[in-house]
Amino acid sequence: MMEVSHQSRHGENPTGHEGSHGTEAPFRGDALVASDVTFSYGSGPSVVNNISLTVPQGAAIGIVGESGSGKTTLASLLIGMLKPNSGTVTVHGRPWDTVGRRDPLRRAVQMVFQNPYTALNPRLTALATVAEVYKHVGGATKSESTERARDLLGRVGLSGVALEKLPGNLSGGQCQRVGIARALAVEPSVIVADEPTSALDVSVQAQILNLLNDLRQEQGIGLILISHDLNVVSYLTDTAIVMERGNVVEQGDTNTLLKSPTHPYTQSLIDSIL
Amino acid sequence: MTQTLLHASNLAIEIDGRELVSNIDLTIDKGRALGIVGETGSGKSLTCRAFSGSLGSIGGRISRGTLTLSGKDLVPPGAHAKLYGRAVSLIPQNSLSALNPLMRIGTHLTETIKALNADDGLGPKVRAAQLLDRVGLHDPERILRQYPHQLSGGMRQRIMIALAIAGRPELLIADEPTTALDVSVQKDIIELLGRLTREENMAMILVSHDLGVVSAATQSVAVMYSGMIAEQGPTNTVLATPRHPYTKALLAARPVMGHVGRLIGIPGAPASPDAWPGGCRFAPRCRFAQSACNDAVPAPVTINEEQNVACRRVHEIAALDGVNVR
Repeated sequence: MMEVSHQSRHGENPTGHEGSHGTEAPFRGDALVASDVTFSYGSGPSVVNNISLTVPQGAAIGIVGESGSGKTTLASLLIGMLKPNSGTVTVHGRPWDTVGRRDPLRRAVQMVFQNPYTALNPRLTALATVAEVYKHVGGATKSESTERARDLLGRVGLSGVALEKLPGNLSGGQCQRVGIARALAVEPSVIVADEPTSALDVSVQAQILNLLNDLRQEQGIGLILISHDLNVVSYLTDTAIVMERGNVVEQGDTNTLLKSPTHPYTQSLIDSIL
Repeated sequence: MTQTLLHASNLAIEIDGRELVSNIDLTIDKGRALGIVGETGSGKSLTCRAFSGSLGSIGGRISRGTLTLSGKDLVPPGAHAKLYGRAVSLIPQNSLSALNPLMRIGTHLTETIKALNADDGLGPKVRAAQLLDRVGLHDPERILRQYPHQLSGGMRQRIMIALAIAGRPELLIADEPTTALDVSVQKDIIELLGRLTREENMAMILVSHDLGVVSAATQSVAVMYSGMIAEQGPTNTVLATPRHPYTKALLAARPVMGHVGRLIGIPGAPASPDAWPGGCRFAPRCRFAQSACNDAVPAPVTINEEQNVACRRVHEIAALDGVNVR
């Protein structure tokens, strides 16, 4: 079992928003708790083997490993998209299978996807993408939802003419900001980000990493970061777990783990950084 | 003594009448590896297409300048026809999906060997097995019978490399060869490309947005921004002591292990080719820019006899770092 610290390592508050919007998520208790979770696709071998971990509210945890190590499957189990063969996953104290589709708790965990272009509806503008969420989930009127969407997109650094553009006319970084805003619109307590910057250029990556970090500092939103990039994991998370073939081979404080790995697999990942 | 293989001078590339790449001056010597780095849309893949003669397939053409390979003029349309696969070979971007899913690996290799007439008198099958061994795949009989989906990403990339070196090219161009691969596989592929470059006495151009990959595999590097070369020189020097504001910003934006504090991103986004600024194209995002930077495209300045930097303020900016450059 692992406990994840709330403490952020990036102390400043660079945007000066001071968390004026929804500073405290309306959820209580540990955000996610997985207990002895095992999963296999069909009758195949276990892709996730007997994993237990706790993600307290506001924590940032990195899941690292190579393709096929089970990190995306573990994340899918944590957010309730997959049902474990054995073991349980609870969200703020309740098992996922007791949380109905329209239960407000469903909104506690939101996903940010790897490819920002394919994750957005190509026929909706940036503004409409986020306004849709307010309209359908929050029950806001059209004008209210547009105003709230404009405000939220402004907070993630998107404003002006970009708001009226379709995803195909936005840059990768702008699309990813829309994806993050869409996730934030339901005021989640945890964002699960699956390789959120691997499709982005270096300078844009820095902007998105800073944004994810700001959200945590200013609004206490937790982060589960899936990445094969140890530099990104090092920058953004306090705790990391290393997965190999469905097993957690090493876990602990991110910097300690990356500085002094004890498992040969972790060492080999670090040695591979060019 | 070094021998120049490829030389580009004042090269410009246009598509549909729009000039997307301008003022490319590059030289690569036999047996050396050159890295081209830059962000999406910086023109690095277009530049490589010009070198490999594959601009025509996307409606592009060389509109200005000179380009030679071992002294042969590559600018006229069709100049590459007899060179492709033999003198110049390209590992394209997204090459992991470039293999025909309905064709066995053996067929991919033997057809390429036959088309290039490159079986070295051994027969296509023996030569195919030899190529697999060259790229570190040591069970050729089994792999030749397999289909692409039966191989891992790293193995498929090795097959692409085997196809690319089948005609014993003098110049191998690898466009983002490791982007979709895991870190450990990425390292193996970079080591393989480095070994082949040395052993086959090829030159290699490695295109990547990953500065770590370029640093591990190349001796010289060109940093591109909005269709132009911002800075070029020895890889170690450019990455250790970048002199162009864009190269500096690119390096500062990278998270490195143990980094504490906020990352410094580059504000804004590159302009589209329709709206490129008249002067320095990086000026609108450059923290050192002055109004004079918008007047004209800066000519490259050679500093310390090895780094070419396209910035009119390069000496002043180096002085701000406490360095005097010649």
